[in-house]
Amino acid sequence: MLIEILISLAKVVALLLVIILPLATLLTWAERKQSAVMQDRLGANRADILGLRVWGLFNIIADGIKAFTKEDWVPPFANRFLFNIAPFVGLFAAMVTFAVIPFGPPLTIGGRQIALQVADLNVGFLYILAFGSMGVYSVVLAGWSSNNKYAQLGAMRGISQMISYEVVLGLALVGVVLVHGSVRLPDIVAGQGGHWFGWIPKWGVFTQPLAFLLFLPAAIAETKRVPFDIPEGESEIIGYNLEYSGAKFALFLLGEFIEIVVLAALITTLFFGGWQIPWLADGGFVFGNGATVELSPLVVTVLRISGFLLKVVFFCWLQLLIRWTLPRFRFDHLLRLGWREMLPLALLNVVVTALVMLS
Amino acid sequence: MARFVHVDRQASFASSLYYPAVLTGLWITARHFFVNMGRHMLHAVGVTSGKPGSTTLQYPEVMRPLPRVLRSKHRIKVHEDGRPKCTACMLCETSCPDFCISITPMEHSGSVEEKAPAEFRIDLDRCCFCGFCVAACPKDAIYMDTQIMELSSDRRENFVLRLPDLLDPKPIPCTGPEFQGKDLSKILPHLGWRKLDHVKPARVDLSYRTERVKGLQRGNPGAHPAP
Repeated sequence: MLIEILISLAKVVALLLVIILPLATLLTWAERKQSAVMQDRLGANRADILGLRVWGLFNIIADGIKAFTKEDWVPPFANRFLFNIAPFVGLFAAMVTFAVIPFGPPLTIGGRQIALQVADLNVGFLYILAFGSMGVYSVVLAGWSSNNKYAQLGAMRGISQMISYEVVLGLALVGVVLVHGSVRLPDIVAGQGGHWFGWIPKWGVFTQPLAFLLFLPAAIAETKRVPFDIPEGESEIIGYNLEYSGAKFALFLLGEFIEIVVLAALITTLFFGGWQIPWLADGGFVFGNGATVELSPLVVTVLRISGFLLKVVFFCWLQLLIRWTLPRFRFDHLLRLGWREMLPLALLNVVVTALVMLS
Repeated sequence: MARFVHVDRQASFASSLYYPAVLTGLWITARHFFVNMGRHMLHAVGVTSGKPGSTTLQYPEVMRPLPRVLRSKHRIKVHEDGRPKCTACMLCETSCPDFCISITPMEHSGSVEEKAPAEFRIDLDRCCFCGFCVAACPKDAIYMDTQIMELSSDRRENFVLRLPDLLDPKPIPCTGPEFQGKDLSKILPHLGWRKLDHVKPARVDLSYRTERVKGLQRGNPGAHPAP
């Protein structure tokens, strides 16, 4: 019993310290640098330690110091308790979602099988949706407790956007569940292992292409980032986090970056085979033409975990690319897109998938 | 008579799909990203002959080449022996539309010119950099070709240039091709370039400003006619 608790703790720590927090903090830097490179600029490169600049990596530290040394201001007209917990709710909802994502194949050490996943819930899927919707509370509480009309308007925009797109998000994922016949994420990942014709991997993006095309924008809308940044609208309309400053504002941003990582991991898990690498079976590479490369189980596990990480990093990159490419939707366009265009398509996807699975 | 124009902004089916246009946009930005990243990588391994990965200049280490006709901080030319070429004829002071020049003449018997400035103040807070003083000068003494335009300071006194601040030995020729893309902060000190903040704060009485403007508005010679 004790050893299992210890293993779980080790997995939580490893996940937090190896994947989520490093990626999220690096993303604050990567967002500035990537946008700069995309726009023919150099980006943040001024923060230095003893003249050492390392491509602006110290800007992460500088930003942190700046955020945490600012005054922690709570407006006198705000609801103090709700105002204080709102950023933590967002952070919590984003981080906790990661618990059910399998970041590697089951590992066998000393006869004990360890699932590389913090919590192997048999309702993993619903857990993700449940905690994904908890992100709305962060917006609601922040906007409401600020007691400021602009923050409340931003929160209202945020609620209507996030609830609308949650419907599409859930329906798009129903297709994936139908294909794999399970809501356990390890089952879904394991089900994406084989190949068609020896070269197309059975990834979710090929079994459920429409679901992927609907899931990606809906999920980006859930993270409240740029083509769908109406709740925040930092460039001019300002939103639910208007009254926040210093460390709490930084927590909102950190929560946003963690959502990016979680979303990348979700896309990887559901649509891009999770830790599956094409042609990599348990014993080594097996190519379509019959050629094989034998590998020890440990090497295979390491390859699969790094494959998962690589895919996560790629989808983080893709989200940043989308964020710095597309302009914002107008609010009525956003809701029309969600309810009148994406929702029918998602329903169609569910019906067609169900018919195909039945026949 | 107003005319109503009906504009049909209904999106076509193709554009309502979003994805083609989105992918085109992503393709463009991703291309920029990879081309620039490739160039940065080449620079990192020492290949610098290619194109730069960014179009921006790293100001203030690298400055844009300034146009040759740029009107910048003033300077007063000097003779070989170090005397200012200015003869305190007051033409620049008279022509100045901002009343920012203030010259105190003195007798100077040691040369052909019988007058010289005892004090020559230029108040950069008032100056509009019109260049009238340069055009008015009959002795070609005052110039605005120092190319110094980062005139910032946290003290008002530092904006009042006095004669020693103006007697710069030579202009800063950072317009030529030999200066393009160079690190000027390393070159400029060798050319006698000084930041304004490095000028020792002079204890200047600023009250003369208001006095002078009041005096000019009362109709002294050289003032604009009162409205």
